[in-house]
Amino acid sequence: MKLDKDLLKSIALGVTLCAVTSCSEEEKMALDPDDCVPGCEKKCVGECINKAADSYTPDYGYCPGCGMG
Amino acid sequence: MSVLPTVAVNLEVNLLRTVLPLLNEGAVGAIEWSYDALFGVREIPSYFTGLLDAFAQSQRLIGHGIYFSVCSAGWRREQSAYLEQLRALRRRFPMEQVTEHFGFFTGADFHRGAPIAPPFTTTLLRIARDRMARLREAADCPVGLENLALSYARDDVFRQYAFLEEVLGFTDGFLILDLHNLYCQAHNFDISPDRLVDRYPLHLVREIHLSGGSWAPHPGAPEGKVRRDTHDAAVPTEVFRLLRTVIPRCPLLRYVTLEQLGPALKTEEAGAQFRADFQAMSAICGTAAFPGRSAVHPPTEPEPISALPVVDHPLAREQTLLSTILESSESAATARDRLLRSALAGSAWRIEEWEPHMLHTVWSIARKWR
Repeated sequence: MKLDKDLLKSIALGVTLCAVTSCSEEEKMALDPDDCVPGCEKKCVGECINKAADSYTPDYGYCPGCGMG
Repeated sequence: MSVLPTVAVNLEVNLLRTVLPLLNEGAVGAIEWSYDALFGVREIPSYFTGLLDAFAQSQRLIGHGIYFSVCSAGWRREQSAYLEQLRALRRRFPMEQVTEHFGFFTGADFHRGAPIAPPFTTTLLRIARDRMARLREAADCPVGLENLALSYARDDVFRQYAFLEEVLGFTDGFLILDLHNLYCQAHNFDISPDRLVDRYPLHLVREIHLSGGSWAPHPGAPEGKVRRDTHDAAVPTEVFRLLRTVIPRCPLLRYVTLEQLGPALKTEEAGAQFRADFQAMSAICGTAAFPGRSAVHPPTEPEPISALPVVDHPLAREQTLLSTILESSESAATARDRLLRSALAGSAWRIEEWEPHMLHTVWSIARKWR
């Protein structure tokens, strides 16, 4: 489906502005999710939408953060 | 009616960055959005709502829920709130269909846990039908369920497929066939994937999911490893083969959706592989012949909804007991011993038949999300 060019530009800009630095996959997997709460400056789950403890779970079935399943 | 090559898109930077070139090319036929992942987000960025609006206005936005817990035998206040939020969201972003996962959540928190397969009983059938009818009413569009990758024993795989058909065959409900989930089951129980396809209710399949996964070592599993649906790698060649064979057999098929977790798409190589998978998927969608495809879903009456949700307290207690044992046991072996001495022994849960490598898998998941 063709999308409006202005919309595509805004998505590109939004993606660029929202990019954050975060830990490696191994570091994230080693975390106890309860230690990683909103406001935590480690930003270990920083790229997840809710920035909450359960936002990152590449495990069986789906991800509560981004919803794949 | 054509089959739309679809991408599971959510508010995740790596994923959006990966998908953007496909959007620029106009290659994406529809997007699937896990709407309930944003229930707690106060302000969704305008670039993302713009994307949702564009596909919704073209009747190409579909929803894939995570948190409703269709098979929970109890009813929580949060589930009522969930339906209220869905009603409001549906007015803002009209979706062509809404789907959920089969199973119930472990964990005490409604919004935390992992999907666990329940026993396939008439009680559960009444509960699952009630939940799907409520979801149907709130979503105001056709609703469906996805096959779960996790099963405890070989026969559970077949029982799940038959049960899904019973849950959904009574109304305008439909199925997602997640081919990677089927691929996991085929490996983990040493069953031919083509045989599993033959047993799946293909006449109810409106959407197919593709994804990749990973291997976890376990001495009791076929070839010493468990296939897990981790959504963090490329789509296996075998899954593409299954897609080619199954598409012509699904008369209601409308969407074929590629899924991958955003955190697994950080590198340019991973992004390029994702786009290559999408192009391969799209090519299969575009070249298959569908002489018998139905233009619309057969019209049926939605299931009437009772004033109060169907609940079953004994089953709810069993679900809680299972979760508690899995989450609090220090090893899978301990969990097995406790299960065999619990009220679940000799019951419809058939825990005596659970394969050790799958008990270990479900124990690992439950421990992670306790």
